[in-house]
Amino acid sequence: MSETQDSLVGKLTTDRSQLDWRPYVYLLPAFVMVAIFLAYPLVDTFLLSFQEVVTLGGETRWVGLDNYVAVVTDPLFWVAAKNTLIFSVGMIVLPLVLGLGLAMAINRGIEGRSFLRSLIFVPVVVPIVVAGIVFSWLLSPNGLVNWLLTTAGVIEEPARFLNSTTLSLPSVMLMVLWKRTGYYMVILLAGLQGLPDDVYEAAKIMGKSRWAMFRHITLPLLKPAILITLVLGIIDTVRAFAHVYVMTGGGPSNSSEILSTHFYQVAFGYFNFGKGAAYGFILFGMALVFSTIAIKLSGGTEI
Amino acid sequence: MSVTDVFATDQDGFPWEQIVRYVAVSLAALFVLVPLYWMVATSLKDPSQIGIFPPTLVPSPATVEPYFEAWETGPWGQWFLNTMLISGGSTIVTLAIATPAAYALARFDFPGSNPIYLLFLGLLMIPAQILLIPLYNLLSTLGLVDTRLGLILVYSTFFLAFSIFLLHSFMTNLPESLEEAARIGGIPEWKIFFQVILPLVKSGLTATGMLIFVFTWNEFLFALTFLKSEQLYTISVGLQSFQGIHGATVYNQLFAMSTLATLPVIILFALFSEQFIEGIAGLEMQ
Repeated sequence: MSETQDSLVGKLTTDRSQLDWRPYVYLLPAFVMVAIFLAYPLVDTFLLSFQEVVTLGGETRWVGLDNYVAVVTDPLFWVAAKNTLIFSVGMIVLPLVLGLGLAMAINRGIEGRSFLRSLIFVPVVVPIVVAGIVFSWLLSPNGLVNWLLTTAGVIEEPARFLNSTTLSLPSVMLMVLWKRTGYYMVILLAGLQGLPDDVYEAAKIMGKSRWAMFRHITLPLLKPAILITLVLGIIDTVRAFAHVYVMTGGGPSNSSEILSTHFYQVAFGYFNFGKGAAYGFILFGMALVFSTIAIKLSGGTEI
Repeated sequence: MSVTDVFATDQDGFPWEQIVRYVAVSLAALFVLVPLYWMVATSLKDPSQIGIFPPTLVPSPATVEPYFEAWETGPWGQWFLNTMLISGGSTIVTLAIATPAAYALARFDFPGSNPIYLLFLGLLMIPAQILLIPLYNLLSTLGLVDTRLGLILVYSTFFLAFSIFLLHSFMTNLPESLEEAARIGGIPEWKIFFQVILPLVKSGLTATGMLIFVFTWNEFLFALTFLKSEQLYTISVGLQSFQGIHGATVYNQLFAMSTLATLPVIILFALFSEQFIEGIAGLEMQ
């Protein structure tokens, strides 16, 4: 309807030709920006992923799929991939579960709802480098966490969280949990507020248990919001860098190395630009594949 | 799943549900606040209270000396200024480019509008760090490596798609007849955009601007890679380098500067928390 109306008004007011040039003019700056700083580098890096830099001057030669083979035959790639999978529990699963619980806790029947929402969201705006530094100190051998644990008698000797091959990655995940829970909570809370009250009233009258209401009403209706947090979580897991870089640098002995820190090491530590480019596209592919799987598994979305 | 649902029983009259609710929220609040408290508390301790075990929970004596001592160790003033200029610049450039683009996508029916919208959506999926290498090369060619302008242009591009979506959601909600009325009234095209549309989406511009400012203020990877000379560091890169050089010996100073680095974004958030949160939630709900 609006289309015909628009064109009708257009014809009535001016005699301009069929094609309306105005939206293209408004979009032009964005196009130019994206073309120069996104599309061109993207194509460039794609081409670079099939080349090898042979001289310091930047001369290259074509090597086919060699760079991709080099990435996937690098044992560290698989260590990093496994660590990234574990890391994603801290980036996605734990903050999602915690965020959902908190969203439901403050959605109804609590004083100061909007203040609590803001308070729990605060870590999201704290610079990631600051968060990493603060948690490094909290988890240091003479830090607050060790003091609490030894005082409570949970452990006898202070643990060296960040220097332990088993504890370094969980330590980073604790910081990530702190940083992300509020983010997911806010998205899920917005989803909860969209749920109609009368559905719950009806279920209550029918004598449904709380678990049944959660399972059959809340979860299905929240599906779009949960899906969004999943996709965001997957993209951010692939992007996460400073989280690990600041706290552990990927160590000790690569125990907390994730794909993006390993990628950075390959590209800028060893200046292996060709392999780095191939690595980048493998990361991109992973983000796409896992996001698609997440969308498919949840049966798509109508949002 | 949720503890609330398992334990809550309305029948016996005892407010289990309320208790679980408040306990859960209190624990969450504690989890949020302890690291922040520890940062500020440590920044107010003198060296005798650093690195001792058990740690002193409340600084005594409390002193602001670490702030002054840390300030002398590097060009912190310059780093704050750099971060301010880069974040401010990125916010202005992004808004200037994203607003008209969002206007076109939200208010016009034109061939290609859907594919263009999807294209921008796809841009959000690119893990930005994979462009580090070609962007580095590109900026070298343009002479923009190790400049604030180079970083501003890169940030503006990366936050463009995000900003277009957010602004788009504010603009689609405006009444349909708005521009038609203005056009019939003979108001020129550019005036419609600047004087009719922009004032109506002021809150959207604020929310988007705040988010871009905070995201760029906190960004680390690109600042680390593209800014080579110490004089141009952002505050995050400066903090990380300070930590690398001084390690665990002067945590009070490190946290003094960390507190200063966090203060601007916390203040911004405190002032605009509603727009902020609704911006994030609204964007994701689209």
